[in-house]
Amino acid sequence: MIFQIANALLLGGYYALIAVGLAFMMQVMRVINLAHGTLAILAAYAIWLLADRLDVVPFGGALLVLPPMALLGWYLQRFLLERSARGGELLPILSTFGLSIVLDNLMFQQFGADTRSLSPFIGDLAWASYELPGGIFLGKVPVWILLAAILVIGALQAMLARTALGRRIRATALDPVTAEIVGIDARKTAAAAAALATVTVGLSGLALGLRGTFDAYSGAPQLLFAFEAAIIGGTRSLWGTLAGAMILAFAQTIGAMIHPQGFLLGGHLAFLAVLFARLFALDEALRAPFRRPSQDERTNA
Amino acid sequence: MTLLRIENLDIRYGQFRAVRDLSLEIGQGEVVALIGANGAGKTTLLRTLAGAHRAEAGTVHFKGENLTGLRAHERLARGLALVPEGRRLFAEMTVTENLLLGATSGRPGDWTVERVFQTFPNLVKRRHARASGLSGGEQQATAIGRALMANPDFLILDEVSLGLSPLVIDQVYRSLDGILASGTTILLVEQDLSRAMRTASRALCMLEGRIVLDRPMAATNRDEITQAYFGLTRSQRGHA
Amino acid sequence: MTASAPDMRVDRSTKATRIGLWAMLAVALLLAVAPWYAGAGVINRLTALCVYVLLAAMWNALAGYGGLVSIGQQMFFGLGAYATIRLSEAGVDPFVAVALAGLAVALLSWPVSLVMLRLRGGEFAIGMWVLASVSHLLVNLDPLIQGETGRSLVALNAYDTETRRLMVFWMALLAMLLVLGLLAALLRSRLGLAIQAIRDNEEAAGSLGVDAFRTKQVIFVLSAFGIGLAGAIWLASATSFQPKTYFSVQWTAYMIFMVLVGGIGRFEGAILGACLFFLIETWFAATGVWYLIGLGATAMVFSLYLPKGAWGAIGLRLLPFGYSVTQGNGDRT
Repeated sequence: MIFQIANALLLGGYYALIAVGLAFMMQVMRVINLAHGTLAILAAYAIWLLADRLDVVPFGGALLVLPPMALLGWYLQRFLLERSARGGELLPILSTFGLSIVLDNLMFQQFGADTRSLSPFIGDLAWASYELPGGIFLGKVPVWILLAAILVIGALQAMLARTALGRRIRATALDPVTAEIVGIDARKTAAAAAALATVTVGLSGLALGLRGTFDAYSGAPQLLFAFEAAIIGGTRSLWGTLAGAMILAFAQTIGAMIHPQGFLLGGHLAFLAVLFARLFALDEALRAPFRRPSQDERTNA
Repeated sequence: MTLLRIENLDIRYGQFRAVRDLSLEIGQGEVVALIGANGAGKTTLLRTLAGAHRAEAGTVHFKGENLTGLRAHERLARGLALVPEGRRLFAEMTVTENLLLGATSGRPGDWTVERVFQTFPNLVKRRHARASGLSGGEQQATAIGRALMANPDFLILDEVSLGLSPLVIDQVYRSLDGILASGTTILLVEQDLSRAMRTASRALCMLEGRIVLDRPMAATNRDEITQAYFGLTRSQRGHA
Repeated sequence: MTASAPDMRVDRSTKATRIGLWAMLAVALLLAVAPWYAGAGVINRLTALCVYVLLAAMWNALAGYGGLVSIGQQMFFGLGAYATIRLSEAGVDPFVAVALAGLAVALLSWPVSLVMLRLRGGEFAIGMWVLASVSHLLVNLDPLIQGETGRSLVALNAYDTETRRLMVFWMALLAMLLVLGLLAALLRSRLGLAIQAIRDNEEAAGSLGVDAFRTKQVIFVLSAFGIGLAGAIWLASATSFQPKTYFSVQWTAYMIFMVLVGGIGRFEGAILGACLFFLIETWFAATGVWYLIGLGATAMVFSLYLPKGAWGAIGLRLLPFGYSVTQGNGDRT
């Protein structure tokens, strides 16, 4: 039992890492990138290639892959999200979905149907664990992933609250037109936010590869996990996303205990239950995260 | 010296032609009051000058440089700042944060957060309050302060007294005195005619998207402006 | 809308739309008698075409008219097929089961709409995807289906191959015409005007007394009905049910492709998109992965550079199911 709780906690750490970038874009930039999971897989393959072909240790490989991921996020915002957003709020959903189909199948074309993992490239570390009193063993890598998630969330929150870039990002999210009037380059600011989010996506690609296996079509389930964690966590703060990720992981764990095929279903049902509760709760405080000022209220003159 | 030169500007707001073939020059150090009824095209003109709205045709030159096609933040970087109608503060952010955002362009000058607080002492105790919780006067002071943080050469004030009590309006204008005296060029929209006449050195009247009166304040009077406001002086249309 | 202003006319039928309607009826008639001049292979392909038109029209109804982008419409496709299996196993004639399955899916979509339509934009899009995944997992739990083992529509064996082929084709054609007719009737009704008002500006429509939620609900349920029917017909045509195939997100990807390329929010656009998709599939499906990459890339390019789709670019209105407001001076607004 304690073993399961510990594992759910660590799984939640991974979900938090994959969800934080999506939640960041949802909360701050108010867009959902449907290629989110696919980009994590792209990063995972890039790190895998570096390890397999050039013997670069995955941690070093990630350092090499993260800058290009930031660049990718930047251009994704400038040339895909920004451009399609001009046609209304629905088009970015379609363009990023199109992108995910292209990338998924390109990766399938390149890497085939075999599942890959990064754990063979980190030697004994893959099995190493911390022993807690009471004979509980926690895998070192999953613990690091959980810590990384907490670190990333803390860093993003501090950046938003305390730095000039954070202020600019928040201002652009609240009201891009006024942000421009105040002197902020709203497009570049949005691109910087997307770049940051995509760096966390790259990190989660590393985490996914270290924890388990992936294949070309693993992006879609990662997107759903990230989305569920982000929605369960609410739209107030990224710490909520961490909580949402934990709830998702525990629900899946409980689901798996109830029925051999209950893992995914448990998570989905928890997501739906939270959604249902929030939408129909009489408590205004609970509903508030879903009420946002409309675009008109925020920007129009 | 001409600071701002507008030539043959046409602006549409949806299907509506808000500004029609408007030409205008404003010199360095002038304080110009833009007067006109609601819907005359004032706010549309000001937002277009600031780059928040695109013109249909015509050009805007600022310090000799063509601004047409430049975005709002690029115009601010050249010294043209707008205090928008309705304040448009970032409601979920604090007063200090709003002011700091005004400095984003990084233009050199002596405006700091502290100097804004000296100019608007009523903001001092509210510095960490969210903008949404401020009174109307405090919000307006923050909005003006935010624009000043960019150290503008040309400040556009759109209806700074809208929704404020006369007492608070007095307070805001008293705080503005220092800025007016400092030689900053100002274009302001003010519904209160007496106040506009007292503050500005030149009157511009707009009617249905056109300028129908353009005179030094000293060379005009309340009657003439009122007539222009209601469109009663079509025969006198033209430049001074 | 200033319909009361002088010199303004609201037109629904023009000369082009009258010709278009007659042409469409002629095509429908030509299709109906296809078995007398076309071979078995052609009939099978035409069945697929009817299903594609059905899917495209329904996704278009949701996105183009309801302003709702869903990535989870495969849920209704899979459930339509599953309901057919279940009804047929309960002793219902398989062809009757197909029709009932569409209704069953529509019935189920009603409570679903109560929750999901409260979500907006991307949240609705992925929320629907999660629901599709939930239905897939739940269907897998059915002992009759046995997970991915699946089940065949065995009752179809009572009919010989040729009868089956013809029956399925005519059902597909009938379903397509029925659902297109329903959509057309909906768009021409008072509700249709409300739908287009909401699409143009939800808040303004609300102030005119249009109940946006109720209107979206109607579209959502119609869309579920059509797609459920499509899934049921697909099953009748393919006979075997494997949850993974039917609940695949690829179906939604196809729908998006067809509508984006054809013209979102255009009645004719969805039909054009389905025909284009049909041709592309016929020619390129054999290229496998590259075919899918091409579909995704095309959808992306259209969403970026031609968001109104091919029909929007043509700008012609052939079917009288939208409104066009003509001003006295001839300006199209």
